[in-house]
Amino acid sequence: MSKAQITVTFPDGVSRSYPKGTTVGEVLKDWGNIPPEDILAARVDGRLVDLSSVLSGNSKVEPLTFRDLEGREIYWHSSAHILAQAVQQLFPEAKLGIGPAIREGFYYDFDVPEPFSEEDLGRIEERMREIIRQNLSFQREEVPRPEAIRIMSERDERYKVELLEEDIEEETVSLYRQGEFVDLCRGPHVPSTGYIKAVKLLSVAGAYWRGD
Amino acid sequence: MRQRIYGISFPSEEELEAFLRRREEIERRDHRRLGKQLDLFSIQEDGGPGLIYWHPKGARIRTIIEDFWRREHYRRGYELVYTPHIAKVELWERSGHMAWFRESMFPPMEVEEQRYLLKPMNCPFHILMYKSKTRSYRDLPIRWAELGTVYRYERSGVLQGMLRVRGFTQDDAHIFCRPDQLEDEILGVLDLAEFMLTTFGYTEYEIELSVRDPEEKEKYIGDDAVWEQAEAALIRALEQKGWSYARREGEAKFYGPAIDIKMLDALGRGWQGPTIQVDFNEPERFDVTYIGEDGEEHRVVMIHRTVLGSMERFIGGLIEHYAGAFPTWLAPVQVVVIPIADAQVPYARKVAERLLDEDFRVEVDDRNERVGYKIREAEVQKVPYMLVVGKREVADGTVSVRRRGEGDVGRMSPEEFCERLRAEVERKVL
Repeated sequence: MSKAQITVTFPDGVSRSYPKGTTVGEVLKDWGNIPPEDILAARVDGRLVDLSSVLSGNSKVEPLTFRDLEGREIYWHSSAHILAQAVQQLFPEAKLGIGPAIREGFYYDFDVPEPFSEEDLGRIEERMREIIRQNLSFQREEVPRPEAIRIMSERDERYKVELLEEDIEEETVSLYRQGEFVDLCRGPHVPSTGYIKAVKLLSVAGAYWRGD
Repeated sequence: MRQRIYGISFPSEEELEAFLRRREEIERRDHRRLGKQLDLFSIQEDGGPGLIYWHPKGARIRTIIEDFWRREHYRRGYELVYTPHIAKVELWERSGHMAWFRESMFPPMEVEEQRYLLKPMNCPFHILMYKSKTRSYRDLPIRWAELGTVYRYERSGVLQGMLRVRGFTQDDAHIFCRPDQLEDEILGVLDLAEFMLTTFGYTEYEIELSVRDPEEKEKYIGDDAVWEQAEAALIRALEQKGWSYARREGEAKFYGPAIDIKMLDALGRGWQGPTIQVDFNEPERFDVTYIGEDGEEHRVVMIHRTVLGSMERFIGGLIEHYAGAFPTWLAPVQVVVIPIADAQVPYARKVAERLLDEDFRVEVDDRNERVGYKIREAEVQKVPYMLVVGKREVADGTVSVRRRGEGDVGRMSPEEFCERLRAEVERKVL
């Protein structure tokens, strides 16, 4: 085995070797036990990662699908990003709060001049379907914290800047982009917006953010 | 202005539709909504949050359940007791509650320079009664049950209908026994729990056995041998039932191992039901003993247990389990007699009296409304039987029987109908 090879172990105990630098998605496709379209992200040596992440050493790789709790959370978290993108396309003045997965589904908090109406929800949902049709890829980007603050300031995302300045201590942070949309986020995410097949917005409520 | 949008997504339209259908079903069964629609209970903000007002129909259901509960406990060798609602602070200090349960208790009140606390549990009271005289090994086991109303402080933000409340009535019992009786006593509680839950239509359970963390034995009171013996007794009892369970290491409270049973409802949701808790703490703190065969004093083994949990949570859960359509033996109103015209009102009343004589719960809808309207109304109120009486029924002394959700069952004599109802109630048909 050459120096540039790494050994990957799969959940069924099978081990195979790949050139160093192969992505998680590629090795799981090669393993072939689960249809590639069902694989949303992966657990590598216990850590949750994107399928696009690169393997640099011997690793234990497990696929995550919608059947797994973590898989569902990733699926719903990616859906929340699509929701935020749709809202900002329709309401450019909307500022982002946070948008996590919850026990059943997801939410996203926005700062807006007017409350959303039932009709708005329908339009936002329609725009989410449009974004899903475009199948935009979720791209991870690691940047120094000051750079992230600059990007979020430019977009006038006050709450994100506050998070970066007051809560986050890491020197490098990750951003996720899909199309023109960018969010501060640990990830991981599904590979692209097209992975989300059926979406429904359920309700809107007044939200209280930290410091209110 | 801050706005939160909630959403859901799935890998297929079918899964999304199934989710939305289930969500609607959960909404339809919500005990708060049905509690209002069926006039079962309310929460009065003027009286304070988290406190349940049982309206006559809700109280009917509760009475029937309590009567069933009492009868079943007497049958299985329990004695029923009543104890006060308040006790001196010193009692709660001795029991240890002031140290580890203080945050869940309402603040003390002062009377004649003595501070009292509302009870959050019944156990110290049962212990005081146990200690009112010397107990011999021949007196054990002693099984004392009480429908004990307790008060616990919960933050107002977490209160939820009948499920999270500040005052509730536990179907509590304490069993005082010898160590060699523990396994049989646990098995007896499991049998009782299974019988009662099955009667209400809960046939699937999720069972957890909470035991010590073997790595951190110093976190628990009571010595090794006592813990090992008790854990083994719980396991053997579960095995005798043939019930599978999840063993949760490190989940036991500091004072003893426990079995917790969740029952799955019509939608497959788990509800906290019976709990069986072995306690090495309070018998120690109160020096609870019995005189053994050897003439020496021995430490008693104490079990705390509930079967239904609390009347509030259990009946809240039942409302959702049955979607408000209580089986006939539990329905607050079992029969509505519906006269077609005013002329049949006297006959309708006579039929109702006949049913009342047999202790059935019956109403006459003598309002000046159309029959169709009255039938619909009775269906909305989820009354199991409607007896429609018109000219024909008066003439031949019969009633036309309609069953909730099924429609016409046929014409029969009031005697025949009583027979049918009696059989259904006696067998507690679901």
